[in-house]
Amino acid sequence: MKWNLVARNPEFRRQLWLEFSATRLIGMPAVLGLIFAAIALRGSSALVSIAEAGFVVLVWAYGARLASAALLDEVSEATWDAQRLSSLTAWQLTWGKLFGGTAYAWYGGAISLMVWWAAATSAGEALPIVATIGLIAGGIALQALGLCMALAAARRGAAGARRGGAWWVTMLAALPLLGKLPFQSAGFVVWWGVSAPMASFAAMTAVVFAAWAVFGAQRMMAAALQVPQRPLAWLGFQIWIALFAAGFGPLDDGLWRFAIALALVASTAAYITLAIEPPRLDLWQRFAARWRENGLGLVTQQRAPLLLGSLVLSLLGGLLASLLASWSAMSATAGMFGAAGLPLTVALLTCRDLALVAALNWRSGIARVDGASMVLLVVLNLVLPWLLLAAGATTLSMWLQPLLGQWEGRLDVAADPLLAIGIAAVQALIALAMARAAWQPPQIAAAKPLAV
Amino acid sequence: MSALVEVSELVHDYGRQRALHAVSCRIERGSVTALVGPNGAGKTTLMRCIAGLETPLAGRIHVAGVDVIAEPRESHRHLGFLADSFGVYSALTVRQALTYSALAHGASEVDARHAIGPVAERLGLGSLLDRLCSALSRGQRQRVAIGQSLIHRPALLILDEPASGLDPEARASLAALFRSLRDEGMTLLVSSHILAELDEYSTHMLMMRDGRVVEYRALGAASAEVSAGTRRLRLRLAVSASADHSPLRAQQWLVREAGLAAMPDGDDAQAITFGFSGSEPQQADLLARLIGAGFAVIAFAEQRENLQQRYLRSVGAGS
Repeated sequence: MKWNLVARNPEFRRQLWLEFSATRLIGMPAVLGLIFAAIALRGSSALVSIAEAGFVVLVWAYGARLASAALLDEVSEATWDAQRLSSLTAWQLTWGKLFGGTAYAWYGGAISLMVWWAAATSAGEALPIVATIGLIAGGIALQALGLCMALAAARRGAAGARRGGAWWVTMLAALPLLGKLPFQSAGFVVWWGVSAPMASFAAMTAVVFAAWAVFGAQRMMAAALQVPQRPLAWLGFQIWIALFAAGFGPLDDGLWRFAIALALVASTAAYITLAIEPPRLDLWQRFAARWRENGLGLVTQQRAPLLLGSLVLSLLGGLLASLLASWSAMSATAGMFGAAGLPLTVALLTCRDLALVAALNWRSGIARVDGASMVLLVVLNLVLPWLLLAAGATTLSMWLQPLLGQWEGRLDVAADPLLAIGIAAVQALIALAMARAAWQPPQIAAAKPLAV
Repeated sequence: MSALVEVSELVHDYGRQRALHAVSCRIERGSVTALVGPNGAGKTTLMRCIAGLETPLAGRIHVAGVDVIAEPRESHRHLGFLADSFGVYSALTVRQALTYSALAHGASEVDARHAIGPVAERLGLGSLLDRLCSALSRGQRQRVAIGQSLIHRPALLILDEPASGLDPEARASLAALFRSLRDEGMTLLVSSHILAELDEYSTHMLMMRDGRVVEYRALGAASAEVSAGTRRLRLRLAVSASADHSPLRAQQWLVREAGLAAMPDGDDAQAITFGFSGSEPQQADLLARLIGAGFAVIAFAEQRENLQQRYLRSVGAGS
């Protein structure tokens, strides 16, 4: 069965060829054996935690690096196009790289795991089954995210396809969130009214995150292979995160909490799309051309930019949360979040920001448009409002950034939700008008042949 | 011949820069099409679109009946592509690289094993199968890359500047390889700036400029002129010919005595060209009559316009 699986996936087999030489096969256990033996011979009780840390370093950190390298090495060796031209499916390429490219890290991780378990049982502890499941799932999640980052970097071109860069982004973005999950051991958690031991809940959460990360890598791989696909996985992921986040609290205002979580998650996701699928003119023109030709049918949906789906979800969540907060009894949480005004204001400001970034991308003659977009967002959301505040122009600052106005006590979005929403809506409309001005519709009328 | 590749109204943009303007063309099955044109003409973009590596703004592409835009992975079973900036797996042996490529194109384990030997022998890699790709010369690596792109016996092989960076010997063996693939019925689409080489094995020319197809035609023996029964002959006289037997007199003689629309050759003052639809014995008889009339004939042969001449003529007409 095992060899059948290997034989069915040439990419997995190729990765094993690359990862395992006789020297490397002997080298890993030799080095780990020396380290663990040195600790054990000194009679240190730290062997359990050292072996566990060894697993984390090898599978999480080194594994994530190998996963991103499995793709970025293809780019640097100019073999990526040849691989895209193969008949391998997106799923074959994904798991071939994900589990083949990281096989050496898992080899070392398995040795560490065995030492960890042996040390734990000899110290009289129970086998750390749940923690192990969480650690393995966390490793898979980080490795899949590493592959996702590499795919995003490859899509953005050679400058972004630096091997180390993708790894660092993975570590900095995901480790603070995922890193804590396997180490939650004490207490209970209540999620959508169900009480569960924290350790089991954290391990299961890590497993679900790992599944989403692998699924995300597969979808990004399919996009890299030019396989048409609807952005359903991307939308589903945002809805799941919102459901997950909204589950921690009382059940009575669950729908409101889901709506506000959806607005915030989808807004964040919309900004993330700038990194994984920048709003380039040709991407949107392809979508517009399909829309013009087929309406909103399947072919058009398959070319829909991820950004569009996130913005729609964000606005829907914001609108629903605002309506529910207005009509239902306010809970303490609702009051803290600015109730009616905040979610829709956030969604509209996200719409403003992304419309401006799209306008920058669609306008000709702007060099380093990604850097320019980043500067624009930072200046508009942070530097300029704070500068105006510091200069005493608080009203102007409030008009520029209504969320900041709330902070300063000049505009309470809970008390004046319509004003905050109105300011954000006007800004979003102005930004959309600027994007419209920069937009160039696809010209696909047949051109005259050259006269020769 | 039926079309293996059909491209219809293909439009492709890079941002605001239009690379392909409603390009339509057909690549005949079993042909070798030389894709020529100046830098920036859109040759590489067209090849990458046909190979399913780029999604165009509009248009249709079919390879062996498969819609490349809707089903890019399925279309890859029918084509091989050697990019200008090709790469090989430097950490693998030649055997591993070829095995991987065969399996990745859907070959079974047994088929892959059987395919490696013949492909390696044909490409002169038989003795290098167990050598790491990183230890090969550029020419050898190029042959490995070509081997990877044709090991699954694709119906269509696309090659973007395959001869660039190769020494003359390697180029000659590459041309021989393409001739043999053509003779076996494989369809090739080859882009190169070295037109003399393309001339050796191409049957058709697809010329592009500014993202448009300027000209598509059969070359050599399959040209339209020949198929219509007329071929172009070129007569050259010795420089020392007397005034009564000058090229001008010969031209007049051909018009008067043989009813042929002879014209001076623009590149050579001693030469005349004309269309001739007679048989080979009639051509021999015409030569005998010319010599009998006292003309000092030093060359009398069918004039085949080579790819370079055709290309330059098209470029000249276009500009």
